[in-house]
Amino acid sequence: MKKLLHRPLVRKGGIVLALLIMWEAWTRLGDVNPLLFPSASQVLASMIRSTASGELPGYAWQSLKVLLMGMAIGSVGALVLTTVAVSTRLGAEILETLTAMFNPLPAIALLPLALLWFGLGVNSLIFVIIHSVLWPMALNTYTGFVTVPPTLKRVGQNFGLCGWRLVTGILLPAAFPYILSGLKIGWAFAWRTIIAAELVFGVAARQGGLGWFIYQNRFDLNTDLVFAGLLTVILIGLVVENLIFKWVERKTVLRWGMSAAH
Amino acid sequence: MAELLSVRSVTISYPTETGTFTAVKEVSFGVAPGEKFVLLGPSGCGKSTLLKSVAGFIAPSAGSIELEGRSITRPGPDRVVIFQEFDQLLPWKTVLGNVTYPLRIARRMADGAAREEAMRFIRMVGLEQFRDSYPHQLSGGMKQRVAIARSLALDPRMLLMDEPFASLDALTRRKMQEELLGIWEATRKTILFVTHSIQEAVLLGDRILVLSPGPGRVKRVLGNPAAGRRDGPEFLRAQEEVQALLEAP
Ligand SMILES: Nc1ncnc2c1ncn2[C@@H]1O[C@H](COP(=O)(O)OP(=O)(O)OP(=O)(O)O)[C@@H](O)[C@H]1O
Ligand SMILES: [Mg+2]
Repeated sequence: MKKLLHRPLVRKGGIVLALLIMWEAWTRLGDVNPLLFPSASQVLASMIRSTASGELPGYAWQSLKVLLMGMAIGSVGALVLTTVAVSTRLGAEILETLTAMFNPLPAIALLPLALLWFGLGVNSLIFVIIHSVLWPMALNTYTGFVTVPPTLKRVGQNFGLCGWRLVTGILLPAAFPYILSGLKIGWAFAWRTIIAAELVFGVAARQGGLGWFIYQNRFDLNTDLVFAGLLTVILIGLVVENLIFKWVERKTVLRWGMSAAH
Repeated sequence: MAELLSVRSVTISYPTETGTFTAVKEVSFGVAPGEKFVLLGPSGCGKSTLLKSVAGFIAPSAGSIELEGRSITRPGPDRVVIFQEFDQLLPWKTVLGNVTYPLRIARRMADGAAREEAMRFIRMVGLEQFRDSYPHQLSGGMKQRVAIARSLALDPRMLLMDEPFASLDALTRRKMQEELLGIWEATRKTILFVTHSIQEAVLLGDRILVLSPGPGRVKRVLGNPAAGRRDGPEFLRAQEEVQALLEAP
């Protein structure tokens, strides 16, 4: 038992549990309007019901699907931009200028323009997601490429690798720690952006995911489901950042003793 | 005896902001098959530059470099370089993976055959227990051993070694020198070895090319009958001779 308490994950779980208990106690003992702040048990019950019926997972999957499409296109775009940037001087300057310009611009600010160009549909969402992952990923991948030790490049050339085979055989794996951290930053931006975009977007269209679920339930005064939606956003974020990315890190950069020093 | 490597009046310049900088000027020498040939000189005299040129990383601005009569135009697995830097191993591959990978791409060997061949050389450098370790788990000396195993496994015409032991502690360096001599006895690989240590040059080099700096030129090529032995009057005499030559104006 004592040993168990020493594990940070166990202690953090305890903190979450304590928060839930305090929440429950406050809503029960205090004079709280459940329409404004439902109790923890009520929220969890609704969440379980909505999950079991497949409604909540369906919306979550819709968000993730759009996000993954945007991230895939954004990552390929980042790779292309980076390849141009490492092969020519002008390419590097183009990349530096573009990232400097677009990085400070919150992706969500492009949504009105996207709606104008692509109309109400998934395409607009994908456009914003691409924007939110492209620049941080390109910047990181570029840093990864230019910091590959020259000795490693020479070793690859010495084996007879050149051109594309040198890129896939040496440069990409050598730059992987930076690419991974680019993916992490890209994910973090994209996840926040898609929820925000769906909130705006859901007003009119029916293809919104979790954001739309939250918006719609607020409209119907299902405050417990609004909370359930928010908890799901948090939960997915935690799972991706703390389980999936951590797992990939353990299997790759940690095992290889490579870390992207920033 | 026919030369394996012929370097003919080679001049190598680097482009700089103000024009060009000549690092090596009109250097000529030849390396015989099975020979251990040492390039010796003070820091900055162009030893690494010459070696990189033989490896095919830098083109000479004048002169010619030929391996078995064919002009060298680019890097290739027939001349494998062993660098001084410990980061020459691929960090994302294990010891076995590091030795197997170039066999698959450069010698187009099938997986099984490549692993078997790789293990033969990993055993030769005494690292069979570490076959599944990653480079970051190895000491500097072990990393250099893996690099040597990887180069030998490629079965190149020549090994090009650029101060491979310079970053090691004195004890490990001695040990690695002995091991290299042993490996050379067993394989008779032609070796072009760069060093700035007189002791190392006299221990390893069948012939020693002494370079003078600014820009790098051949001072003289010395035969070295003492090669392979670390003691005895011959070894000391050879060291003194090289020392005197290096200090001569
Ligand atoms: N990429 C480069 N651009 C310009 N000058 C260079 C470059 N590389 C080397 N030089 C210059 O060429 C000269 C020879 O360098 P080189 O690295 O071949 O010397 P070295 O004999 O190997 O020295 P060391 O023993 O310190 O390794 C030096 O004066 C160096 O400053
Ligand atoms: Mg050098």
